[in-house]
Amino acid sequence: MKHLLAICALVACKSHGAPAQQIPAITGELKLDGELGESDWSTRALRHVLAAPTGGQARPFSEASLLHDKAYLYVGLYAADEDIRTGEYFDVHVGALAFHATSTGAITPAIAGAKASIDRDGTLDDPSNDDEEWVLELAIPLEATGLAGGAQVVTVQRCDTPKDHIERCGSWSGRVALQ
Amino acid sequence: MGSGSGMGSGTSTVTDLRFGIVGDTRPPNPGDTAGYPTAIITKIYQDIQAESPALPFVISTGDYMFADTAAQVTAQLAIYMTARNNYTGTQYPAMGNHECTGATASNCGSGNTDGMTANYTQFLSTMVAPIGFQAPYYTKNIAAADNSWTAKFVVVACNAWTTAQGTWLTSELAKPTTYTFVVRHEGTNAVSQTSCGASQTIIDAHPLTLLIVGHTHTYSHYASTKEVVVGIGGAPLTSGTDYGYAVVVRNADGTITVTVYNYSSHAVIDTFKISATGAAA
Repeated sequence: MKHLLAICALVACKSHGAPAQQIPAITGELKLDGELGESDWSTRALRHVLAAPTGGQARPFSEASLLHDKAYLYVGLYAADEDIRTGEYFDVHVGALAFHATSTGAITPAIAGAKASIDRDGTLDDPSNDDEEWVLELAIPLEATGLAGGAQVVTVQRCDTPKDHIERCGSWSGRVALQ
Repeated sequence: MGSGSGMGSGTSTVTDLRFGIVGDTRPPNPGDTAGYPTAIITKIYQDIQAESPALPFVISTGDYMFADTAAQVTAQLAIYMTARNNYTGTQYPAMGNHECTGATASNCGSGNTDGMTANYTQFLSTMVAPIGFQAPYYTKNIAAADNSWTAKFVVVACNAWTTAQGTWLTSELAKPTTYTFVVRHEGTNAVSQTSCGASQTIIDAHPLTLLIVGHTHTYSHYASTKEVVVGIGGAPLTSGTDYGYAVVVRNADGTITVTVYNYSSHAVIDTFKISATGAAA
């Protein structure tokens, strides 16, 4: 975890001076089902695959996607995972807002008005079989993010320990603004 | 040869037994054609084409799409086949759960719970029919030009499982050959989540050289189940293994060597040697 915080600090600092990336507005209703199946997620969202500390795509694969409407910041989080465990999470920072989005579909600490849904392809806490992935679809009230007031730095990190028992981490950080 | 029939459905005669294995190529999310791993699967097939000596055929372990509509299926299969056509040999594809509904437990085909989805029908018409088969389960036989060995590749369709397929599988595995390769999308670690648990019972009751599977987006070799997992063809990786493919070669002494390569560096990820019985050699 110390390792992850160091990466985070480094990436966040680098992001501060960068021009803000635009978070597109949704064009249709999003059904919060953890599927990320609406076309806005695949064709409009601001998407970033999490990178390994050494560069390149993090393994296991993780991806963060961002959309918004007038009330919410929508966050899509994809986690490839061969052994989904309770206690796994994405560590998400949006400006001063910080929370964990967990493999059980929870947001901790709770954010007033926030909604979360999860879709898991696999079995929780059962290492006897191989899992595929878990996907979180979050709606965070814009007022909690500070984005209504201007650009913010967003950082998304995830660590996972596959069946080889080696912890691997990935992160993405960028300065973003509402389109 | 391209995506055409190539070696086709009948018994093929070769001087050496050599083939590639590619598995699991899909975007992270449903309908996510924009996120299709085009560059990765293109490079993999270019690598396979460049293998020397040449590989006359490849086995693919299933999952070529993540699609909910016919249009998405068409678009994603088109991307896959364009990448695959960088390789001029024949492809023998297994059906994955994403060629049914996407759910691991889904079961397609006439009379089955999930019926005839676009994923299923287009998989059959685009990938299976051109090599001369009609069903998603089939056997490809290979024989040595000097008659010194025979091999069969029995391709099981877990997500189109029927009792008829079970009867067929028993019959096919009872036919004696020097080498028996069974290809199935779901490995022994996932088959319990499907309708085709019975397939494993049938496989366990017959001679087996190697069970070739995918589904899990990693590479693994399980000697205890005579099983190799090749699911590193572009789908989101679930472990620390990078994308890549496997090459299987019959050695002069009759043993089989499996070597797994990184797609970008061609570095060897792993290699192991087995006998025709599947035991370590």
